[in-house]
Amino acid sequence: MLKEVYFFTEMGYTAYSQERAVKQGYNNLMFPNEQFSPERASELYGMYFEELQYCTEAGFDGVMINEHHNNPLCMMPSVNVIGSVLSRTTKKGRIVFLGNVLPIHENPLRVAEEIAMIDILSGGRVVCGFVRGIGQESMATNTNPVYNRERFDEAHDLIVKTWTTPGPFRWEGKHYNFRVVNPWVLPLQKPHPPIWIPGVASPESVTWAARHQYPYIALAPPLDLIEEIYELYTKIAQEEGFVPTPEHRGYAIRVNVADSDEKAYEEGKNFYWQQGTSFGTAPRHWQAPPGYLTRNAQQGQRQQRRNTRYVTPGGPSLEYEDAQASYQIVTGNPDTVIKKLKHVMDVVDPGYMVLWGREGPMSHEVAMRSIDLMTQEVIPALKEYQPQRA
Amino acid sequence: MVKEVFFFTEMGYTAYPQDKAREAGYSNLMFPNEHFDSERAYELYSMYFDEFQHASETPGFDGVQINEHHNNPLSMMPSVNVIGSVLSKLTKQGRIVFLGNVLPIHTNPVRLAEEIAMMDCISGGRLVSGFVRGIGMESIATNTSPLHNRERYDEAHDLIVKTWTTPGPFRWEGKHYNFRVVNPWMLPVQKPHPPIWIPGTTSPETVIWAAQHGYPYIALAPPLELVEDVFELYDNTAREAGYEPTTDHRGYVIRINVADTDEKSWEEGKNFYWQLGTSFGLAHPHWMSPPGYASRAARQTARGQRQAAERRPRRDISPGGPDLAYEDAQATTQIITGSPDTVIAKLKKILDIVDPAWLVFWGREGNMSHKSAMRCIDLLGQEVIPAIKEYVPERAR
Repeated sequence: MLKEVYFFTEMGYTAYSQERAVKQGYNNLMFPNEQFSPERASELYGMYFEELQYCTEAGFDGVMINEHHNNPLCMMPSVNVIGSVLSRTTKKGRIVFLGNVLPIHENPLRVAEEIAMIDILSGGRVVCGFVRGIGQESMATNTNPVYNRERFDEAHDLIVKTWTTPGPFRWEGKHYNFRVVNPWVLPLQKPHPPIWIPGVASPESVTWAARHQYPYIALAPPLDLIEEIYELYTKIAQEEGFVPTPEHRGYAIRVNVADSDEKAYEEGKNFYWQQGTSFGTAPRHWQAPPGYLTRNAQQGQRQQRRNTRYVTPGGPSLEYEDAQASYQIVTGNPDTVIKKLKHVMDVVDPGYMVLWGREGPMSHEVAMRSIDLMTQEVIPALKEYQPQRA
Repeated sequence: MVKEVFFFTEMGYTAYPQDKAREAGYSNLMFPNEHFDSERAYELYSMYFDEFQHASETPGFDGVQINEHHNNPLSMMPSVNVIGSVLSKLTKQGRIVFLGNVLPIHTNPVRLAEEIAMMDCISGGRLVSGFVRGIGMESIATNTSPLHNRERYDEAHDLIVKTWTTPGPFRWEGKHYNFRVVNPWMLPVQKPHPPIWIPGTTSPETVIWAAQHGYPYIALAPPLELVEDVFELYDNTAREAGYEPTTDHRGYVIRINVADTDEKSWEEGKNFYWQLGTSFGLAHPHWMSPPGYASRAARQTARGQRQAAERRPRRDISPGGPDLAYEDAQATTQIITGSPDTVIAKLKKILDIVDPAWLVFWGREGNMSHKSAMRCIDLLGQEVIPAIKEYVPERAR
């Protein structure tokens, strides 16, 4: 059964010249930042923060936030700045960081300190997700993609040890070295804030999450991939000696709810706001620079490309109709959306669901209406639904 | 004349057992963090943010100042940017003065540029971006070589300013920092960038650096008698650099308490000595200044100061103990206390010498009660600041 539902937006910077991006062939990493207007960003931040705050007051169990660099997709190049703001502007609900991009950090202790600060400031409302980042994050921070996963692992281990082992202690690893680990601020939640691992169905991340007994949050993949993902998770869990529950399963899904199916169908097109794609356009080697993916994962991806097509990440995207058909975007009036989401729940039975509820040039009014319909009608219906899988 | 007045507190973690620190001989860096209680920290944060918010809404104040220290109960701000992010949305008016980001401990200055730009956008352009070298402990807590502290400071500064002012993408190949792509999709709302202020405890190298860049130098509560030297050096360097410094180039931070009577305020002022009878806490000198951290020139100055200290009581409260007596701190106006009238008279003397445009009231510390701190903010806003802002200092006449 569904325990908690969160709201998410990428906080897109929607005011850039798409024409210019089409001409250039990409809209991120090297796309000139002279296309960025801080005045417009200031207005957009105001709108997005208002929406997120409203979510926590209207009935969501919290909000999810994210991090991307050099990318108008997302005005959150530091997830911790956004989380800090929310820690005091919202009064209730969890703040789900999905997440801090571990491998791009040279000082994981600072990440541990910042999350601890935010956990205290929020009164223990932080869920701490860790991600590898897409290839662009490595390039924007000049971090070697070859060591991405090694650094992810070591940074994770160091952060968890920092939170759970009394200091001072010494850390001499392969990528990180500290003579003194003894930060004066530790998280409010004990032993530490919950750690969740989001992913776009890469089997290695699924396996890693299951080995650590962390919930795996599937980021809006095609529904037909889901069964494989959680089959893999369950198999690893059994090897590790635990039985996974819905609390090990999370699911993020693009949703728009409006008063009529027709209107919601139109609003759903806002998920394709960047040059007819959701994520924007970038050369493939920015998404996955040499060394970023293991051979296994590459073969997995190749397999997936043959089998199915994703909305995210990276263009070219599939047709809007296909995204709807594969449940990567769900739209409709409350009844329609409830029916569709129940179908998703029958397959996934997640403990945590993230409604990715606003994107692109969707108006503030429409976003707020969608939030109202979700909290008044959709979420109550889903929370009492007993999924088939359960 | 004083243009703007800010409120500051270190946000001290006051709940640690001081007897343990006395036993260990130090209260920071290696002082075990098992003495940290996150429940108490939550209450303290809430109290401090209330006070910051109150100051930002009190007429007369023009904003708040924040800071960064690591592994240290002195300050619950190990990330000045987390605190600044909260304030960027929690406060509706007034500037947020970061004094500051510790540049040399960062390996990715572009991220700093991004974070500061985000907060500048979120706050509606209310940031003042200060940069500091950090005391020695910041280097040790982050495993950064103190030897390259100043080189990294310089290069990180140059990279951040270039990131804010030069359209991307561009490449940066420096000695300490290398980026194939600098092109962050987030830039500050203030143009060309948020004001940069340089705080310091009178090290001549920092004064010269600030003057050469035309940045305001903010003297962090030094003994008043040192201030004249500091700004004389600043002015001379400025003239060599080809500009005439104004009050806008001078800032001054001062520990202050105002209460309804001189007597009460004198007692409250002792809260600045909350850590083992010192202001800063106890630490080994080689933590404050590890080998390589201070240049020969700076060390000679420090030595000069120590030699002077041997002849008479040590003059400087901060940073690091052992401290001078509370009475001496009052006498050298490193701490000033009193009723509004008393404090106004004392501050006017300081203004006569310094004539700063930017004044920071370090107005709460240690175990001072919330009520006393709030009363102090009210009295500062209602009585002290209006009188100070209309005063024409001798130096300006």
